[in-house]
Amino acid sequence: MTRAFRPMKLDHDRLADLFETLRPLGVDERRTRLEAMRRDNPALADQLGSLLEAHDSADGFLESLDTARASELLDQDERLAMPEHAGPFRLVREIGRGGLGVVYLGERSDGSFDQQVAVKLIKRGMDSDSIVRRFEAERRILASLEHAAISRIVDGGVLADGRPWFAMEYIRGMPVTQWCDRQGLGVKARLELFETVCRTVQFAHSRLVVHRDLKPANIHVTEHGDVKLLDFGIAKLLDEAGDGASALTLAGMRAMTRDYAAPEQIRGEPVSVATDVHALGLVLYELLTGAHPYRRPDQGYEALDRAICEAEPDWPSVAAARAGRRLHRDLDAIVMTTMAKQPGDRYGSAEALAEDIRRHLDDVPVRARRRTAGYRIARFLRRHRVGVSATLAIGLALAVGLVLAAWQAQRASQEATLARANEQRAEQAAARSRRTLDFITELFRGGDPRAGRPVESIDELLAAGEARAGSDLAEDPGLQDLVLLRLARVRLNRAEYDSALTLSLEVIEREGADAASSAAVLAEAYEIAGESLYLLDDRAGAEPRLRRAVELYRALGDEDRADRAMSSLAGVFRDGEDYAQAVALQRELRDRAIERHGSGHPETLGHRYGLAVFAIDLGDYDLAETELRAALAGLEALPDETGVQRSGGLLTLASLLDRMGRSDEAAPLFERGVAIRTELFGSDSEPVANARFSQGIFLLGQGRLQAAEATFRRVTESTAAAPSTHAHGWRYLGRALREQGRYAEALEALSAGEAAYLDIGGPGMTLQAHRAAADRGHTLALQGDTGAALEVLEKSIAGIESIRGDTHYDLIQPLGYYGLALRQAGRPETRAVLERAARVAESILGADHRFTQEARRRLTVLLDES
Amino acid sequence: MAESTGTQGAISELLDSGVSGTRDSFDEVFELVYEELKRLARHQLAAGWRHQTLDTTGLVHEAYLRLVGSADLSRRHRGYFFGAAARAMRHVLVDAARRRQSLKRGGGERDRTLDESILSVDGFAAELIGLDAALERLAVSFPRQADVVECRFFGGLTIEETAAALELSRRTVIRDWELARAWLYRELGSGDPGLPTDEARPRPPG
Repeated sequence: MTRAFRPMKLDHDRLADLFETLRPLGVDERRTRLEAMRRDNPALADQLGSLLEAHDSADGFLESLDTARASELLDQDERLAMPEHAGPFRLVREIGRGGLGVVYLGERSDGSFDQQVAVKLIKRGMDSDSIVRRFEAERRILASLEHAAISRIVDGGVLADGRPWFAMEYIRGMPVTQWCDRQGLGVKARLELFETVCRTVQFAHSRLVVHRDLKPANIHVTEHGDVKLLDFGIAKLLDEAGDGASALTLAGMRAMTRDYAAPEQIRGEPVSVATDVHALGLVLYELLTGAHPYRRPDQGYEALDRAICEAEPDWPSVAAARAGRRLHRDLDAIVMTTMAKQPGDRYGSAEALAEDIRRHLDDVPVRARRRTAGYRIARFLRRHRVGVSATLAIGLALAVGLVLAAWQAQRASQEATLARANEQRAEQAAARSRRTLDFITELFRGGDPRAGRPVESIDELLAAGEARAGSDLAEDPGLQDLVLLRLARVRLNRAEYDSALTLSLEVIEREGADAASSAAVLAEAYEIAGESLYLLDDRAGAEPRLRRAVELYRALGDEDRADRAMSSLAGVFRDGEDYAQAVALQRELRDRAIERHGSGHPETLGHRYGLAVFAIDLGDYDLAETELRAALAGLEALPDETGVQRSGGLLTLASLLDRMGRSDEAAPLFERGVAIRTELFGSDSEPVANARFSQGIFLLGQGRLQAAEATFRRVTESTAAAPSTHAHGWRYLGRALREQGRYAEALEALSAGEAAYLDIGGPGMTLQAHRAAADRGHTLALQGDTGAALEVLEKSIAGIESIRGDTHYDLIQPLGYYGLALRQAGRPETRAVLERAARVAESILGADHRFTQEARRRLTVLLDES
Repeated sequence: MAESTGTQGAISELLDSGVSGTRDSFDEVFELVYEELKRLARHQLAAGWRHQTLDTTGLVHEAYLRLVGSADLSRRHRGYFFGAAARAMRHVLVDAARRRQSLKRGGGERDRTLDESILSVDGFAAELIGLDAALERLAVSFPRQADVVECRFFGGLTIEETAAALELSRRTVIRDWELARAWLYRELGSGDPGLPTDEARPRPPG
């Protein structure tokens, strides 16, 4: 038998099989078999033979990874990346890292004195010009933060390899929460310390520095009892995308702790003063109750993120009670306001927060309100879907978002509280209800006796409750269901939608089978199931269950709950863009509320407002106007209305009227909206900036260019406005100037806007930057600089297309500008572009829209000319 | 206006689509896990770094806890995750090894001492790179067996965990493991270079 001239292809599977067969055999047997094989397939036999031999010698090979050397490898890998020196400091080890940069511990030991610093520098490979420039700019801003309570910049420079660095005081102290515990401080002392923290944060805000990563670990207290804030603005510096989301959020990747992030941060939206305020709220919560409001054991990142964005935390007084402390109601109001999910709902500034704390300490009424009854519009804003139809001006979206949020109810929290043993207002009426209460009381007081130790967390409690309900209460299915429902409701409030759904479905299934079931229990089970499905985005599943809930509640005569379920149902339709249904349901809710509570009741007003919003979605502006006016009138009559909701309503109405072409009516409403907010939040606050912006849009549309210009200028000058608002301000200022023929100034403003958008970063802002660029291109064309105009416009359109595709509302105006510029330059593509502009406008806005008609007109003019 | 870039549910979604086969999300899960592992490894080594030993198995499990939490995932989901984690662990180590090699070549020496630990780490790095290359070659003929090695050696997964990750039976895992070990030993050890092979060997990467 000769060897094949060319190597034969082996059948690997066969090889594997044979290896497995021969492996356990003795040496002799193997040899025999191999010989036999060699006759037919020598290559195979050779392979097999050598493998078996190797196997015999390979004892212990690859059994385990040498972890000691692996550690050393990785550790040295880290240290190798670390430079030895930065200026006068010797770098010791890494203490932090973000997407863009690294933080090392450094020591200065030049004999004269020892000093420990935190040295920040850009990661290798990241030193592009723009990043370096940003780093430098950030450093300059941080260097301006001269404050006793802020760890300051000590030194800075450039490494041999060209990377910039700077060093900050490395503070030795303890996180504020730990320090307060160690010192055994009471509530009052903690509040006073916290007030100092807030005022310090305010100082930084006034210098335009947002911390972005406030947490106990960054709020130190030295051994002398001095507060020191660390790492101001570092999160931005280390942030790769620079998109306003802190170093805590890169797609899918997390930094060590995100426990103190704000909902907008988690969603990747731009960060503002309000983000810091939210973080302060969480810290305050922890200071007062000893626990983090959202964090739970064994919780993955997603669950925590979701909790921060959607879950209702226990009220501080409830959480503190669990730890054996008593908290005043005012503190509930203050903390919950600071921790509100919507930025516009929080204190407008750290200073406002400090002042309210001061008021509480001075025994003066606080400004924050503990929201009790009210309209639950929270779900309408779920996932930041303010959802007002895209054709309305930006100003409307801004105004509406803030107001809708202001109507948010705390009813969910109250439900959770009801389940607590302390409350006596649980399910009254029957002995059965009493037994439910007893069951839960026992659970909460003593934990699970079978486990032999007290229950440590709410999670354990709930799990124990669910388990026990299954066994202990098996003989009384009705009671079992009641308990399960209570637990489901708590799960729902904690944003644990899957569990809530499972529990409620279980109840439904059993109740359905039992003929003598309690309709009330079934109704609630359907409601919870429906809400859970809705919040899990399963609208198709949510709808029938919510409907059933409404039916059952009404049959029972429980109007309150029926309305509650109906509101949820309306939300489902609205989210599914079935606006007609949403409006119909909302109308019914409004009518019922009028009948039961009267037209001035907050509940009714809330429904009216909701109806207005849905009507806008539907396009029925008349209805929206009627309802908005009624809601506003009702609000004015309410005694404890602070004006927050009113101002938002006014601005919404104003934008709506403008949209309807009734600008003379809109103008005074804008004025009033701005005025109320100025009084409430201060002239330099974010809500006022937003209001002014809406007003500016209106004035621009009116052709009142100078007034618009002045208004937009104020927006750009506002120190508290969100970066995106600033950027919008610049852009529209540019437009206002352009309309006045002041092209050079307009270009400056538009460039500033574009830069501001890019500075915030992220796809949304990049899109805006392109649009600002289009405005700039048009301005250049008007100025006569056609060449530059065309270049800018082409880039802008390409940019928008890459984000939006080639047929989108955002392209209409830029295409129009481009067409005009081409015509100015006498280029042959003019016609094609103008045709495209007209086509896009028509397909998106319809033939009757004025933009479409304008585009058609331009085309006609062009054709006439040729 | 700002566009939201929600990352909620990212990992669960990826695991879902990967397991159900609707989409090959392995690479994305891998990315997430890779970053997480690096970070955890760094963290594990940070405090008292000189004396800490890296616990790769613990790392993989901790990464799981952090990325997925106690969400109730099916065995398949967990398996999918662990498979990606093992690969990520492999990359974390091999990448560091490569960097070390290139540093030596480039002559950018920092510590010019004859520290024993440095020498042994150099050897270790070379071994890792050799193993990685051999594993690549193994994967050409015996892809499944290579995956098993990745799971067991780099991920520190047990036979059971490996079986779940690769959706194999216990027996198959054991078989594959033995074959792979033999093959790699032959490849890396003192195999007879004169032995004819059945196909042209692909050039090792890097």
